[in-house]
Amino acid sequence: MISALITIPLVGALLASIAPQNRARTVALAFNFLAALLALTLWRNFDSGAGGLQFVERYAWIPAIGAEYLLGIDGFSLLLVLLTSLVVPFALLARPMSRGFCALMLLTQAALYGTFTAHNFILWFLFFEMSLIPSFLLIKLWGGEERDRAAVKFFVYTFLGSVAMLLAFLGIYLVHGTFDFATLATLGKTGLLTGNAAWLAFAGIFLGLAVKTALFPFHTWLPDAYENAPVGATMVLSGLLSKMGVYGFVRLLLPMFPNEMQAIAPWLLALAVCSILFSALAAWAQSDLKRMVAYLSITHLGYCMLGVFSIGASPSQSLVETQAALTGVMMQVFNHGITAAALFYFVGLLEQRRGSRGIADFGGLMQRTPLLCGWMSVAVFSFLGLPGLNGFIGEFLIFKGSFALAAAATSVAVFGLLITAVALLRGMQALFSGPLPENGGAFDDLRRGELTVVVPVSVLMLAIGIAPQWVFNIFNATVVQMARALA
Amino acid sequence: MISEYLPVLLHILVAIGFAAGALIISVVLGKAGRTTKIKDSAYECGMLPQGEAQPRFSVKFYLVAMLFILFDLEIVFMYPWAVVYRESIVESKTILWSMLSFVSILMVGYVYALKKGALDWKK
Amino acid sequence: MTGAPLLEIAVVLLGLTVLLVEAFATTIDKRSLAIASIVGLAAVLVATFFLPSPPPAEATGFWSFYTADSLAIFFKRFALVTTILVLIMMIDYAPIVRQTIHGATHQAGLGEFFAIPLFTCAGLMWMASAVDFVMIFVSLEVVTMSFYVLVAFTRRNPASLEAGVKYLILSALSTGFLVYGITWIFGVTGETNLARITAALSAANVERMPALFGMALVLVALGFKIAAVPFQIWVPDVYQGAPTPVTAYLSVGSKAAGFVVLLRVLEPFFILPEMQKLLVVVAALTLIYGNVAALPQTNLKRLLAYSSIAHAGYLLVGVVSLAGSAVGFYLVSYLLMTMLSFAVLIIVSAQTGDRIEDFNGLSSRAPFLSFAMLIAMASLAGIPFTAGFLGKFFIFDAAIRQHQTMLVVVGVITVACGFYYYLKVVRAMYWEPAATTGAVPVSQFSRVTIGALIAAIIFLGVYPQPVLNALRSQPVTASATR
Repeated sequence: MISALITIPLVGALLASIAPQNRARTVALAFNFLAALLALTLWRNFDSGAGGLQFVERYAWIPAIGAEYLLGIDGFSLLLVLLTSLVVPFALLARPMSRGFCALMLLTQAALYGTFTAHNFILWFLFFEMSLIPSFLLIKLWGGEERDRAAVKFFVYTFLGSVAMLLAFLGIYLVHGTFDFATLATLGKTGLLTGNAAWLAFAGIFLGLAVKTALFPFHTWLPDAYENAPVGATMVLSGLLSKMGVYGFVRLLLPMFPNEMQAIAPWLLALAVCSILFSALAAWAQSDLKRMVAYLSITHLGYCMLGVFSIGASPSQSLVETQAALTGVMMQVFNHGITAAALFYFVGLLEQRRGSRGIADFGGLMQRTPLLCGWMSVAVFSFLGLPGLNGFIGEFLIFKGSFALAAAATSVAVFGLLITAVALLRGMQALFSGPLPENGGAFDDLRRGELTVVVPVSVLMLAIGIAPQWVFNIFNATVVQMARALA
Repeated sequence: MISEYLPVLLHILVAIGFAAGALIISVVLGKAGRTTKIKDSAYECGMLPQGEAQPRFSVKFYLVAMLFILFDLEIVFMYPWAVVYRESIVESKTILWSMLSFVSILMVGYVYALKKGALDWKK
Repeated sequence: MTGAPLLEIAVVLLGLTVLLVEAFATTIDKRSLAIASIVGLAAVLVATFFLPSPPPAEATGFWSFYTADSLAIFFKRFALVTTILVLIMMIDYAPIVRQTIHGATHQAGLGEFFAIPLFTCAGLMWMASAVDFVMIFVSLEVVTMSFYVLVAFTRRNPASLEAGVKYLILSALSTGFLVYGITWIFGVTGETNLARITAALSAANVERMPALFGMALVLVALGFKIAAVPFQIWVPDVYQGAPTPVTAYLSVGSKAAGFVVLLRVLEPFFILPEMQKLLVVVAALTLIYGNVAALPQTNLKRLLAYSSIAHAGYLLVGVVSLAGSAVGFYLVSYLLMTMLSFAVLIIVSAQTGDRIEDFNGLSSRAPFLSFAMLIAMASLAGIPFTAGFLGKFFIFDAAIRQHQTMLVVVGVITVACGFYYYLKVVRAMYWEPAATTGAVPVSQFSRVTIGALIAAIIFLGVYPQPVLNALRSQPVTASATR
């Protein structure tokens, strides 16, 4: 089942790369439809009461180095698989692109499915790295003015992080002789390694994941990459690729290095808080719309990190709070995936119509394009965490959980919400109201094709915001199990 | 134990001693350096020393010499073979075929050399 | 005497036939001889998979100096694949040979250029099977002799001539060491068969010093073959001067043969613990020298020569750790990535040159070739999910198991060095502006070969099991775990 899920986009990539130029997107979307169907089938057959891995596929791969072909899905994995199936077609619809673009998007999709379902380090790392090359090419070939610099920066940062992570895992392997996540997590309870080796391994893995999540101060690649990538790629980068890091933190670092996490938790929390506050402030100062959203993405990922680190800070404090924080992190991952993608989609629409994306280039859009503004504000409000929309739930749960676990850091981090709101509302005001710019020219409202994309996504945001229970059901059992394992 | 290797050591010493001795004796007895014009000239027979000290020979000489050594060694190899297997060759034809295949490989080499004109002096 | 020995006979016959056709049919396109050789070797390669039942375990008569165990069969295939790839490269290199040989016809010399590798191949295959010092010596000489000719083949080119002379003199010297060492070992044990030498050395009353001396001498000779420090001085000049396909052949075929012999003699050698200590030192020195000396190189061919020394170091780590299958896998990955980089080098240098700066901006001129070079360099450096990474990983894993911590530390540090100089080439291709414009022509044949090599590197990097299976249950690891 899961292998098929990974194979479908791969076959799609092959076909899209040889399809006629104008049909490539159709092919890609068709394969996405298939993948989504399969993902939904997985969800239907998924036993939401069980916390462990389901649909496990396990084959020997390279026995000599303990590499196994081990795929499986628990609640967290399923959540991210569903998110991937949702965001990639959304990104493909953002703008018609050539066949190379579509093929690379599908390759990225396959890598994402693999990353979220693999449970052996070697296999996981294969997919983790596999996502890097197509996204590098997406930025380098189809990016904006600064694409070369942005692509190289993106590649070098993530690559160095990956090397550090790989070395750390090789070290662990040489001591314990296994790459299996479950086994390593069990070993982690009593301390995976001892002394300096433990700290080195922790630092290596932390570096790899922190770069991917764009945690302060490893975030500097992100604004450039997001700004210069083509819209579709930015949506995938922000909606999905950054989630690989958060996934890694929850799946690897929390269970494998609980002692180390706890020991330096204050510092980690400080990093998360810095991440939240500084990037929110930076977003406030941006004049470029896309760059502003990029910085706000760092803020939102910072909330996830706050949740993760507060769990790491005092895992045994209270089972309820740990569960709340974990639930919040997962919810935030899902919601940010949808909302960030949606927001970048709107930014893309504006850029397409105007030819530029400086905040000052727009104004008075409310009079001219009420539909666009109306639907866009749904995404904006979701992004700043308005209750009733999906963004609120994850953030609320994270703060609820982490306040009990790490009160001081959380209290400071809450200001991030305020700054985010200010930055976003300032942007909205500049865009939607005020005088029309002189050379406004023709400026279309949402077309029918775009509406059919926007409306379902917005409805989904609203639906999660009002009745989130069906999303919780996906990963509830997994959260309970994880929290118990950590305590 | 190690004393059994004394002959080897002696051999080494003798080899070094012989080389050194020959050099020293030639210097002492040969009165090296005491040369006169007359002493250096060709005396009664031989050619007058003209041209370079180490003239270049045509590469054909080397070619022929090499081919000669090759086939010479073949005979050297065949001779003990014939002596050793004189009786047993009747029982097992493999011995004969082995030698024939060895010779035929050299034969191919010979044909090749012939065809390439290695033995053609004028070319 | 059926089965495996017939393979070598077939290769020799093929060589003789090619030679005769070359001598008599003067008018044909000589490149068809190369094609015929490739087809013939491919047929032999296929035949290796259909060998009859394994040879008798009792080592008597013929089988006392010839074995057909899995290691031997594996390296026979290795030699065949290497030779096929070298012949393919030689076809691309043929125009340069023509320039440097002034013969009666415009094809003069090409026939031999294609025929001699067949004899080298036969020598390599014999070497893979040799379990007796006499057999080792004879097959080693077959290989070395043919290399004398090949290295100096473009004889109007002074660099090639210089390389030929250097190789001849130093190789002859090392052969002298080999024979002398064999004599000493024979003197102590009265045997030339490796298994019987092992048995004789295990006896209590054996004389250690002379045996050790003999082994050290054999090690010197093998060190020359595999380019281990301090017997590496010939490598850079010979590699740079020799015709490029021959350089590739030297760095893969000759080296692999040296390592097969080293693995074979390991069992008798390691009865004396001093030998292991000696090898550890040699391995560490080779790692350091190869990697550090490669850092400042500006000529790609020379860079590859130093990298070849460096890789000999990693292989020696595997040998010291008694990891026969790790060494085998490393050699396979080394074969693939070295052949790939030389194949690209030949095509590119025919147009510009073989300095690194001649590769500037290749990505815009020849995207396919520069991608191939990228993969080759990534694999040589040991980036994950290329064959080179797993090769190093297996070696270090084995070294840790044998508690060779010092070697692992040196190895990991030198890998970092390697990253620098291999990625220098990548930088030139992708980041530097191109000095010249115009596409680089690639023949269809080479394109397919290069594509296959890229695919093989990535495939083995992700799924190495086929090679590991072929290497399974072979004697060296069996004795190591004993």
